[in-house]
Amino acid sequence: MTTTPDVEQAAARELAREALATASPDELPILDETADLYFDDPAAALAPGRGEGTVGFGLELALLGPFIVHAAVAAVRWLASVVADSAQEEGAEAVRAGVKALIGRLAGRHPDPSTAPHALALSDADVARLRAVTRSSATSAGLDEARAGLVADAVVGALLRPAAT
Amino acid sequence: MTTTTSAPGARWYPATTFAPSRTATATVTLATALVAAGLYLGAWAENASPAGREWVARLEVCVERTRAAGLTLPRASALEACTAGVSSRLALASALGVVVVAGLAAIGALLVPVVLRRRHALRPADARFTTAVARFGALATELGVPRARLDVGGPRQTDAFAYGAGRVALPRALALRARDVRLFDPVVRHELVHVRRRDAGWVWVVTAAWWVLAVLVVVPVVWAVVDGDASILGAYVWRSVVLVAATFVAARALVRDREHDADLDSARSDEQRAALRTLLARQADAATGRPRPPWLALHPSAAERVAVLDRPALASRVTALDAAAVAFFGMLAVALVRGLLLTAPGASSVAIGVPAAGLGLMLGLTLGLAAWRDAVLRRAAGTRASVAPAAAGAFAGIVLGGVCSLGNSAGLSHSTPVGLALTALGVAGAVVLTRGLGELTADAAPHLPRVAAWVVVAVGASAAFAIALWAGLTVDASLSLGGRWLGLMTAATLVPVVWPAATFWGLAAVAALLTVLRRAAGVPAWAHAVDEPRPVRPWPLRTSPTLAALLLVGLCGGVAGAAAVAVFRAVAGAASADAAEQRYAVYTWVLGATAVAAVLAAVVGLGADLAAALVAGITAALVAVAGFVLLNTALGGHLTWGFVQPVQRGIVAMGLVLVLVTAPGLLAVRAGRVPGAGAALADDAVADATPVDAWRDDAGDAPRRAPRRLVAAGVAAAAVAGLLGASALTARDALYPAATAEADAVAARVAAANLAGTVGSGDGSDGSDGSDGSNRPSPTDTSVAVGPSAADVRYLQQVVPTVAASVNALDRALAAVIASGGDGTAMASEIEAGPVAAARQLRDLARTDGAGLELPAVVAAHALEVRAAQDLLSAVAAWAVGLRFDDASVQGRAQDAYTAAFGEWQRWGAMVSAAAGS
Repeated sequence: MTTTPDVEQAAARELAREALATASPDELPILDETADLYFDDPAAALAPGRGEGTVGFGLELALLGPFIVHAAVAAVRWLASVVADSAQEEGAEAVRAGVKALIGRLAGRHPDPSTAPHALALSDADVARLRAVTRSSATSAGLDEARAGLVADAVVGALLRPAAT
Repeated sequence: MTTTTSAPGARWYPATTFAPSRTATATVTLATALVAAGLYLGAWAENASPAGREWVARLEVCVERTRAAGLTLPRASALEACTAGVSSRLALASALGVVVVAGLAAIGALLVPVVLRRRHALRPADARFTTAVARFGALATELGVPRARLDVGGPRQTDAFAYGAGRVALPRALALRARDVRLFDPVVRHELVHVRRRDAGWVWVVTAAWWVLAVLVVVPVVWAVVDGDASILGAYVWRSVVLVAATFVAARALVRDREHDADLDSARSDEQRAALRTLLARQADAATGRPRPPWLALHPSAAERVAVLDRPALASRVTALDAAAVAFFGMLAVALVRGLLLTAPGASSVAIGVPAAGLGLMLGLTLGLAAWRDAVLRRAAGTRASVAPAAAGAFAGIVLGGVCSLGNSAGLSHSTPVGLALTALGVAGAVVLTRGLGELTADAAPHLPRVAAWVVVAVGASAAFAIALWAGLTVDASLSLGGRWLGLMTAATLVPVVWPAATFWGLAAVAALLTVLRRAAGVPAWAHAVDEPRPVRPWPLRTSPTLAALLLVGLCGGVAGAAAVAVFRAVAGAASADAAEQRYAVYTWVLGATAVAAVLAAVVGLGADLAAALVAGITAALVAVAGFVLLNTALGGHLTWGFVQPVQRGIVAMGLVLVLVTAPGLLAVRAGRVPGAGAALADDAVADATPVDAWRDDAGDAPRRAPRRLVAAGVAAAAVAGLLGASALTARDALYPAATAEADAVAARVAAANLAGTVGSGDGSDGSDGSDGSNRPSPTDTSVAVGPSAADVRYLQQVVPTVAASVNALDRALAAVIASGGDGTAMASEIEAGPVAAARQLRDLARTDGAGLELPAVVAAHALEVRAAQDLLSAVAAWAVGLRFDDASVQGRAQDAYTAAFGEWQRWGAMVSAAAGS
């Protein structure tokens, strides 16, 4: 059992906002627009723009936002699968509750994971796996290794950081 | 006298905006290529039309007819007469072609901003980019473009660029990082400089025009295939491919050069340069390899940009390709413009002067200003640059442009290999001269207003290039029309106009002034970066001789040349009437060559650049003129301004032309003979290693060896002048037709042979008798109504060559008498005995040689012959009367009448040519 698209998108947006606040806070004012573009057409949002050649500077300065959103989506999906696995025996309802708790935590409703119903605990191995997933999603989207690592660190950090009260 | 050199001190960072940018004028070069294409395509469209087809065939007939005539008459007037009535339409069509190309390019350029706005979803920066807007505004005000506007692109835009009228588009990622001044400021400054320089507009016009060109050049090919007439394809296709490819490469090079200019112009302080350098270094690190070859790239690599930022002189080099490109494109247009002017009514007389002046101006503004910029920037860098690559490139560009011109594929140009090579040599020599002028002006820069300095170089270079082109194209035209003899005769008599000699005077005067101004001084304020304190070191000066040394060398050369003439005169005695013209022409070669001798001695012996050496050159020529005039006066000639002025004009003009043509050779001689000159011919890398002894910072005392060098140079000038003079006098029969009769006989045989081959070619009633006024013959009309009678054939084959030779002989004889000067009565007697008697014979012959003529064109030509002969006799007789009674007004009227009569003979020549071809 996995989350619904709306739930996934909402979770990814929130996660991306927290990650972007760390990685590239300047892009926060346009994150909503960036996320809208991504969810409308992920390929277009992630594709490198074409340089204009004549009388251009020669820059290749792309936004980090689309890649953060992309990694956040990957992270949310991975987390949903982990919740699903751990709540397999408890049934579908437990899965939904677990994911809701996760989202709730992310939304700040349950700042302390340990107090949230059906709270999800991530082991070190889980964290490492999560980092690998997000990093892999960033590199597969076209980012270089250095920036992909930055994205992964930001997403994972946002996920593990206690939400602000 | 020359001075010792000393090591230069620490370098400074130069200003880079002290003269118009090279790329600004390079844009004009590309525009020239597009104009050339427009001219050709317009003419092609006219000729491809149903009415134009007749004209194309007629033009070919007329071209062959005038070439085959073999008469020593202006080809332009003959062509004009032959194709009168349709020429104006062709000219209009050609002009329309240019308008179409330019108009389509302008439309394309206007559409570009619209396309860019849509492609990148550009919008004016809104409230989310407040910081960027504020910082952008501050930078725009600082850089003098307060009206520039900031747009922000969609999420996919990654590069910043200028576009439209004063607009800059930034990627969102940059617009959101306005607070990071190390990232934001360098990029925005760079783009604002593009806005200030209007680069976006120019680049997009050129780019759009190239697209238009690439499409339009295909049209004639498609038409030929559809029409089934592929006759032009062989000559046209490869030329059009070369044109399109060369334009493409040149456009890319222009864009790359503009990036360097924008970098240098946008980073004017150490801090700004450091920020830009850091940013470019990050770009270099992130680069994953250039997708295209460097010469096709739109941007220079980040590494190249950093290198230029550190050493601006790297961007000022005039490479072989730079020179070849401007020469190539210019020469492409020359053939087409010449063809257009030859066919345009009343414009044939400027068919060489106008293209020469136009291309000369273009070369002067591009290569001349580039030489000046390079000379100044290298003083900051402490390096020297070789002029050999640029000279070689210019040579190659002229040759390739002449061969590849689209005008050749339309039969509008008939350059001879020798003529084209001479033109290219002259232009290469002008490149050498321009380099020297740039260096000389740079030496004197602290004492000149900044604008005056580059204006001097641009004007001087333009004049030198124009003269080289004019002389080369004139000789080439003569070689094409009349072969070797006509070419040599033209070369010896290039001097009816004033401006070749005036150019030599002007260049030498400027060089002399600059030589005087060269003295120790500080670095001018405009020559170093604005935010840096003025360097305390002195302005570097090159090793160069003094004005007195140059004058002395010139004096030696001139005296030797005049002495050669005097010795020859003493040995050979007075020239016969037949040989007078040859004698005078060879004297012009000999005395003009003294300029070459003096320049050679100054360049090799004294280490002068070619510009400074012109002082020695003109001194030699003027001393030689003085010697000749003195000799002539001593032998009984009249010393009048009317005699001296054309003499000095001719010899000085010959001197300049010879100097330009031999300058590339002088460069090679200097490289081989002057110690350290090799360093001056090395490229940047080598020059960096051995720059020290090429500069001096002080005006120290002359070393002991200087007087010996001066004496050696003077002796060399005299020896070379004497040697050249003796050689020319010995080989005079090879330089100019020996005897008038022999030359006339040669001309007559050539004319007869050619006319015999063209009479009866039978293109029928063509209306070329002018009776219907339309002069629109139909070369395909095979209904031959009237063929030539035996009398017509005899008239065209025998009478015409004889009469033509007689007219030319009369003209030469009269000119020889006038040139000799002397007592008026004696001259009158000579004219009465010679030219008047000959004119009377011509008149009598004309009255009797028209019997039995039937062909209307021949009848009309004979009628003109009768009138022209009578007018000629009247004019010559009146001239003799004016001389005998020393009446200047009678002489003036007679001269005018003679000119008019000679014009009638020229029209007669065109008419008989037309008749021979019909």
